[in-house]
Amino acid sequence: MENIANLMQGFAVALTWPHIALMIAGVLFGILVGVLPGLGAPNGVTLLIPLTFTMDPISAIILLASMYWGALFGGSTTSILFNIPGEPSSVATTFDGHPMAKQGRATEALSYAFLSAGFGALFGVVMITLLAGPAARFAHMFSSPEYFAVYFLAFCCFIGLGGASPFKTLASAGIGFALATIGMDTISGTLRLTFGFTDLVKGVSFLIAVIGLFGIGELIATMEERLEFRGVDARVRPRDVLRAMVALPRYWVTLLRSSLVGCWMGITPGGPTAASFMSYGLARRLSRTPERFGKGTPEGVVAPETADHAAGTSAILPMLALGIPGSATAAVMMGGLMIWGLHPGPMLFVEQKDFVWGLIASMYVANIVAVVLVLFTVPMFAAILRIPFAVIGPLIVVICFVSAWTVGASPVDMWLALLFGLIGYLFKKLDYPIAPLVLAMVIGDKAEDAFRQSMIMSGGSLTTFWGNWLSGSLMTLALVLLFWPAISKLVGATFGRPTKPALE
Amino acid sequence: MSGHDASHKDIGGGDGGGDDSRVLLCRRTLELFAALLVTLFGATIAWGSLEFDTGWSERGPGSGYFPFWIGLVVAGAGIAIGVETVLRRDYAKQPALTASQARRMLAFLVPMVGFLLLAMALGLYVAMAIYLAAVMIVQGGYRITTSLATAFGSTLFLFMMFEKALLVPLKKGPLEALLGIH
Repeated sequence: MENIANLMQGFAVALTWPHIALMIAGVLFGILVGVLPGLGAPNGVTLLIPLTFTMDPISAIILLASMYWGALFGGSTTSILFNIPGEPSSVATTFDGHPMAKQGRATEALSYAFLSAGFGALFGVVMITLLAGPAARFAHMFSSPEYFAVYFLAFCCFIGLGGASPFKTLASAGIGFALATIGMDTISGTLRLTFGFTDLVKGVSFLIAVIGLFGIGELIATMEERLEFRGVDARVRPRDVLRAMVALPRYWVTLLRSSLVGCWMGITPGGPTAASFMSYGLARRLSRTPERFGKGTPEGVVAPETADHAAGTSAILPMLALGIPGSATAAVMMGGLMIWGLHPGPMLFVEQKDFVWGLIASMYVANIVAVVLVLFTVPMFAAILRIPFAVIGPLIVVICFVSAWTVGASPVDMWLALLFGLIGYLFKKLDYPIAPLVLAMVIGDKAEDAFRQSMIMSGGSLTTFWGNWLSGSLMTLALVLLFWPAISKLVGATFGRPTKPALE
Repeated sequence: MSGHDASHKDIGGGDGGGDDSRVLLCRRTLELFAALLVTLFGATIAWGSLEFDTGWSERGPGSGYFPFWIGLVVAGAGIAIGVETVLRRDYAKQPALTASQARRMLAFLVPMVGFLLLAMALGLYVAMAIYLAAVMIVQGGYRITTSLATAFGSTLFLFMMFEKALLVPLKKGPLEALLGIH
């Protein structure tokens, strides 16, 4: 296959000592940036671009890509240790990762996260290698109805899973959607729901909500009970890392499925965040022991992490091949590409073969470098838990609010973060699910835009979603998943089988 | 567990007072309060979207359509939650907040709000130094030297990281203006 030959050539370009040094530096910087909530890969990439003016494009993109890996890994670290997602795409990792840490299995959780992330990323890169050609043709099929169908599917996958009270789930998702509508409406250009507050013109940032709901909210809830990270085994044993490594193949189904979901969401830009939620939802839905999710089952960490990294990696493909960035980071990278005089698009693969395949080859290597680096620094991160809470609690508070500031340099954001913190605390106490709110905020905007574009195109008719096989099947699948609990109960009752108790 | 030595105590309440389990709020009250907030939020959203086109034309839904209906759905959900709460008898007996829980929570919240207020006036760096030192001394029971050292050290570290390394400027205040730092 021609692609393999190109890949080999790419390896020759990428595997030089200066490049490897850049990879290490990039990953370390990325971990640091990823660990800080609110400061994420997009910030890191923005900061590094000026540094790259003196470099050749290949070295520059290697640095940026490595930083991206590091940031993804760093985000998972704080999700697991502190229940504070460092990256939007690490939110789903908190669901089972943090309970594992609280049970004293922090090293195990971190190891599972990093290893499955490495797998997902590798899968993504292989996908890119194989699909570099066909991707262009496929993406042309995607128009607004298809985009909406993808978002709808991601949402339904995650949502119809039952839980405490359907009304609370509905309220949570609804609040998320409502918050997503605040600000400028991209279709009509009007300012919605700002009530005269100029600070709301830019809308309510999803990052602020995450910092508040997860960071501050978790801290307040923790402080209610006297003790800090109760029962966390502070001593890190390399044995735990190995144990996770050995146990991982047991989850091969989850790994494969999540990788596929991730690649899918990366290439058809749904994004790594939606991918991680969807993968978690699917894993829970299809598991034989769904009640273990949320309490610290390894599968609950493997699923979102694999998908998130697979998506993050494969998002590079539409960016390179079509100029459609599948994530915020890909968007900034694209900016960098253009600054260096490269133009994303089908011609890039023809005119700049060395660059493209050098980049793809470097992703294989950087992935391995990152996983190794991050596993070695796991003890360092887990050791942070040994610091007495009286010191680290306030430190986390400071970092949370500092991060809130970095989002938009607005004092209002910090107060909003506090408000979200109180909301998060209330939600936790009263069994309101937080995840639907977060997911709704992330994809609500894009989903609404896609919906309204579709309506404009179709003259207001809903049948456009079943207009072609792609969006039609996506929508149908989404609806089936949404109503699955009701359907399965119906089927069970009809055929006399005892119905399964409501999930969770 | 987390080997405390005698020089500092747990945050909030200490160990001397024991557990004050007087119930301040029962679950039902808190649930109703939350349901009310949800309903009000939904209603506000719906009302706020009325100034836009809430109809569905040939161009599809107007910009007010989604917020309006979502607002109504949320408000409806809030009412439903309220009804659910009233119907659940056991909620009246479930404690939601005890006195000592409240005390610990406030011991955490009040300094945090103080930090924010300080940050508004004095910038993030000054505020964080004061906040960290104060919490460590008053609630953590650490010695003044340790607390000040940790507070200043952390502030300096964050300053270096944000201002110099990441080039992300944080909110500054009068002290930085005096020192000529921007």
